[in-house]
Order: sequence, then structure tokens, then C-alpha cells
Amino acid sequence: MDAKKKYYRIDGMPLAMQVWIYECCSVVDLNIAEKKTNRIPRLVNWRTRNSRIHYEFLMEGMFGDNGNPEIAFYQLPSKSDAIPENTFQNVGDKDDDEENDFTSKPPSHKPHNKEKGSSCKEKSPPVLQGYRKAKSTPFSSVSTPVENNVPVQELHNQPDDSANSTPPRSLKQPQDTKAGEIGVLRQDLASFKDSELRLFILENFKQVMDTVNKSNPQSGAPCQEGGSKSPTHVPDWSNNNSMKDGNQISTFLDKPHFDIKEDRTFQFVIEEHVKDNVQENYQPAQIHIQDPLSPVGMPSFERGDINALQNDGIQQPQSQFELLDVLLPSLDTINPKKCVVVHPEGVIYDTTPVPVQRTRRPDRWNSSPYSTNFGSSSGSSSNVVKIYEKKHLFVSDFIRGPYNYDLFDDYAMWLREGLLVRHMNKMHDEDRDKNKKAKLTVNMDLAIHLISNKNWFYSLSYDKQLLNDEHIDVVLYYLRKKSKYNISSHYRYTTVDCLFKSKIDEIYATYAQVGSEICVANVESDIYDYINGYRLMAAIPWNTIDNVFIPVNVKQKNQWVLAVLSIVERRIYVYDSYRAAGHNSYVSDEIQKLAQLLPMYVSIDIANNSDDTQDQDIAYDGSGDLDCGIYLLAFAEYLSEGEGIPVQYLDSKLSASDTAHYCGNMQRRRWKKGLLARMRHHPE
Amino acid sequence: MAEGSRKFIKLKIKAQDDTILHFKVNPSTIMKDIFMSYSSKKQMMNYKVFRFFFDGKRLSPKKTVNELGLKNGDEIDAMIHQDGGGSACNY
Repeated sequence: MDAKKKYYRIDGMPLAMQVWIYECCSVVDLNIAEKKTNRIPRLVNWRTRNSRIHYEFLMEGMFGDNGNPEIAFYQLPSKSDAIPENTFQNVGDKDDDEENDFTSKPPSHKPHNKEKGSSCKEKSPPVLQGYRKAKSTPFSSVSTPVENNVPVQELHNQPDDSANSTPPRSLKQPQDTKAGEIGVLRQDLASFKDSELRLFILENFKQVMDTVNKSNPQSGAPCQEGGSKSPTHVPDWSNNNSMKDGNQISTFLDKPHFDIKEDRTFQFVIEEHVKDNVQENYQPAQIHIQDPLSPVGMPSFERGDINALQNDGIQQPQSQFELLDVLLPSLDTINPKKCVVVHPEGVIYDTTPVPVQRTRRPDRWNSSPYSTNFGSSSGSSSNVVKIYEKKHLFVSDFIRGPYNYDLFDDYAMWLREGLLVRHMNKMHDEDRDKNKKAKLTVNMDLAIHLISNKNWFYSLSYDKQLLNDEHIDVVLYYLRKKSKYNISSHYRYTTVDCLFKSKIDEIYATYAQVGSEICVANVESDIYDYINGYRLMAAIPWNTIDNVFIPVNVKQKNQWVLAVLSIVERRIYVYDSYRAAGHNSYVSDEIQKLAQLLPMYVSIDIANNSDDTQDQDIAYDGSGDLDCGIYLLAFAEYLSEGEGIPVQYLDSKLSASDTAHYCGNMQRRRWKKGLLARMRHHPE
Repeated sequence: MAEGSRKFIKLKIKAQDDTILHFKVNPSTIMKDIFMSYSSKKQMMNYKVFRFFFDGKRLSPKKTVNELGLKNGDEIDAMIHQDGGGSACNY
């Protein structure tokens, strides 16, 4: 608590003080505050019922003598100085209370006395001690209005005084000196009339204004009156809104209008008279009149002022001289305690900075990822770099055309480059190129297989070459991809790799030994991965397609045969490019494995176990056996289009055309041989 | 010891006849070395007669164990290569 503050309002008092009062007071009226709980943070315990308590209420209830044995009324000998103070304080109270909220009048006799003591403590410490002994400590501090005790008698002197207003306390006290002075005051009051008062006030106001005007930057005149007082008051204002400075002057100007409230003026006058007696300057008193003009929202603040004034003593009036704030800026530091902390408006920042958005630009290398120049070994033949549009891998129809013959020519040229003259005499696994030129400078990744040798393309491009599973797998992979991304096609199919048949062989071997279906077709088998589309790249689950292309390698004859599992028709079509007497049995043996095992996995109804095979010769012309691999791929590609295989003159067109398209250079190869194909139907 | 053992990766190569060979290799080992070692064990002179699959995908012999993402205990399938056509048929 501020030591200098003499009295508070209850509602304007810090909460801590209120609670302290409630706690220490023996009886607290339930209408004022109610004790809810009994916890350690005492603040929480109390719930206030009535924030604005009238003086009488407090006097009768909480501080009544009957209720509180502790409270005893003490009459204090007050000094002469006390009188003016008291009177002034009364005025201050009135000003504040004008609005009707005279809430903090709790201290009845005791507070009054005590405050006196506190106010006088500087002057008469012994007296104060005496008071404190008698009174309970809480009250001493709480005692807000010193003059509350003033008897009603004074009220009649002051016409305006209502019950709330506390007449100057000095009268109440029995002291002789005070009584005498009070008597004088009464007389003065009686003698005064409204008109006189107004005139008097106006005069004083003019004087104040003059002094103010004179003492512009420097607090010359005002400071003279009370150097000490000004500091007390100034800080309050400075702490408050800066607007006050402007308001202060306006309040002064408005003062004449304020005459309506004659009550205060009366009081002031009285005070002034008293002060005259005391030899004080009265100009500050006039200024004080304007306090009511000051915003009502700051009652506590004004109280503080008044308290300060009391401490300072006679010079109080100037402390309320608000106008001088600007003039005395340095004084703020003198009384830091009294500062009412007013938080400045929160700094309003502009909108939070938004990070600059990055502008995305297309990739610099947004072109075909496939190199058309295969290094020094291959690119020397043509200086012109041809740029092929990057299309979908399967946009063009390689069966019906139109064909990009430049592409084929480039591919053929690239393939022939560095080729041995007698390349046909080499074995299939030997390089056909001169001097290690078969090795590709850059490995060609075809997703399934990593190609590092040109021989791979040679085998695919020239007839009568041995095709191994890598070729088949790559081509079937692209066919699979074609099916996967060409949804509009009515012919739904997928392919499997060469490993599928190997797995079937393994399982069939087990199946043949055991003879039981259960232990063979276990769920963990890799075949289920094929069927569910988990195992292969770009795989399609078998439940969404109609046909499955299965490359079958007849090991005994080194032959590639295409088997097509038609799930809808429950048949296996076998496309073979070679027909010979000792050949068919081997092929049918391989197909038999598929025909027996696949129904277990695909859960196809087994109508008839295929014991006989229907052979339908599509065409037979020439050596289909040597190019079985290419034929297989050609069959697959033709079938992928949903077409039948042309009976004669099958242009295989390099069934690896997908691969050709993929690498950017792949010859389209025409097979002008007739097609010998046998279609076998394996009803399941 | 623990760190030393972690440096190596244990691989299994399973042949078509369900015979399994175990290899303890360094992560930076080129697959070709493993394949050649396997082929020699199988008494094959050329490792290209085998096709090595892992999860249905072919293993390139030119990549290392790390590049292929092989982990400890992975099982590699070894298949004998298949071919057809060409001069092989002219026997």
C-alpha cells in the first residue's frame, strides 16, 4: 500500500486490501461480501455482493459500535494544521462523490481518528501511535475518508451537502481551536451567497488562467506556490493518457459552466477561507474545483492526489493543479509510487510479413529423357541430331501404321554401325561388332533389364537369332504396360514373365509327386502374387482382365511358345510357330502343366480335363522354328490389339516395336516369311 | 565384433531345385562377383546361364548389393536362363 494514501474506496481499493479488511474485520455484513471458502489464497474466498456501499450502511452495520467491540471511538487532539487539511479533504471527497458513489466510507470513528493520526504522523508521531494501539490495524489503513465522522451539523452550513458528503471533520472534534475556526467558517458560509461565490470563483479562475498563461514552459508562478505539491500531482497525470494535458485546459475553460454545481463551489470557498486563515494560497483551491470535471473514471487517482496533498500539508491545493504537467515533466520521477500505471495501447503491428512466394519455373531439361546420340562410337554417322517428339509410348499403331520410317532407318543404321561383315557366323553369345564396339557407352535401362551390349538389339533385330528370356520379358513388359494404360481397349489382357512358367514347372514337379492339390496350391505361392498383381512391374490383377499371355519355353526343343489363358472362355490358346512331328508332344506337355495347375489358382471351373488338343493350323510356311521368339512376340502384339493373327505374311514388324519406340531407335523389321502358326485349344 | 558383423550382409541364393547357398557379402560388393561365385559352386563356367531374381525383379550383375537395396537375409532366386530359336534349334 502506498504509505501516502490516506483513504480508499472499497471498490477502488486494491483487491488485496479489500480482502484484508474482510479477513480482519470481525463481522462482515453479508451484503457486502460473503466468504465462500476457506482456502489459502484468501482472495478466492470472498465474493462481494455489493460493490458500492453507502456510508451509512457501513456505519450502521460493519463498523457499528454495538457490533464491533474492538472498535472504540477515540477523540484525538488535532493540531491546528489538521483543520485545513480536513476541510480540504472533505472537498475532495465531495468532488469525487458527486456521482453518488460514496462507496468507501467504511471507517467510522476509528478510521477517522486513525487517519488523522496517519496524516499527522509526520507532525505528531506520538499521537498516531496512540491511535494505532487502540485501533485494529486493518482499519487504520482502510480508513478512507478522514472526515466521514463529521456531524451533520456542518451539513446545514453547506447547502449542497447531502448525507454522502462528509462535512469538515474538524467541527466534530472537540478541540477548542478547531471549534473556533469552524465557527468562523460557518459564519463565512452563512454570509456567502451564490452570486458572491460565483464571482469569487470566477475571479480566482481568471487569476489561475493568467498564471497559467504566464508560466508557459516553466512552472514559474504555479511552482512558486507549492514546489513540493506540484510534483505529487504531476506524475499522476503524466501517467494517465496524454490527452489529459489537452483536457486540462479545456476543463479550465469549462469551469464557468460548472458553476451549476454550486455545492462544490461552496465548499471551495469555505476551504479557501480556512486556508486564508492558515495563510495559504487559494489559487490551487480553485483549480481543485475542477477536479469533478476530470473524468469520473479515475476516482482512485484523485484520492491519491488528495492523500498526497495531505501528506504534503498545506500546499495541497496546488497538487491538483493539473495543467502544469507539461511544465514539470521531470517531476514524474520524484513520486513513482503514486503513478497510476496506464498501459499504453498495444503496439499494433501491420500485418505479419508474408514470405515471398517462389515462382516456379519449368525444368530446364524438360525434353526427351532419351538420348539420341550414343556417344562417339555411334553418333559419327549422322551429324544431324533428330529430335523426336516425346509421345506416349504406345501412341502410334505399329501394326497398321503409319510408320515413322526415319526411326527405323536410324535404328538400322545404328545397328549396322561397327558390325562385323561376317556377323552371321558368330555364335549367339558372341559380339558381332568390331573391336569391343558392341559395348554401349551408356547402359540402357529398360526397367526390366539393364542392357549394356548391342548384341541384345542384334538378336532382336536379325532373323534366326536366339532370343532368351530377357528379350521376351522386356517386350512383354511393354505390352503389359500398354494394356495397363490403354484402358479404353476392349481387349483386356496382361502378360507374365518367363519366370511364371518356371514356377509352374516347380510346382508341377511337386504336384506330380504328391498328387494332392492342396499342398501344391498353397496361398503363399508366388503364383498368387502374379494373379494379384503384386509381383510384376505394371502388373494388372487377373480379376480385371480377360486374357493372360504366358510365354512358354519348351526346353527340349529350345522353342518359344505363346500360351494365352482366356479366363472368360476357360481355354488356353497355344500359338506355336513351328510344327513338326516330334515337336508337338513336347509343347503339349508344357501346356499340360499350365492346364492342370492354373485352374487351381484361378478357380475356374474345370469342365473337362483336356485330354485331347484341337490343333488348328493357321498357316505354315517356312522355318518358324528358328524365329520362334520373334514369332511369339509378334503373336502377342497382334493379339494385344484384339485381332486375329493374319494367316499369311505376318509382318512381325518387329514385335519388339515397343522396345524400338522406347529406345527411340529401333528398326521395324519385316518378316516376309509366311506364318506358320498352330493354334491349339486346350479346353480346361 | 558387432560392428564387423554388421558390415556384412547375408544372402541366400535359392536354385530351382530348392538348394540354397549362403553368401556373406560386403554391401559394396558387385553382384557379378556373387553370381560368379555361385556359378562356380554350381560348376558353371558362365554366370550368365543363371537369371537371378529378387522379388520377381532381375538383379543386374553390375550393381552393388547396396544399390539393389538387398537386406540381410534376403533370398535370391536363381533360374537357369531360357532361350529358344535360332541356331540352337538346328541340332
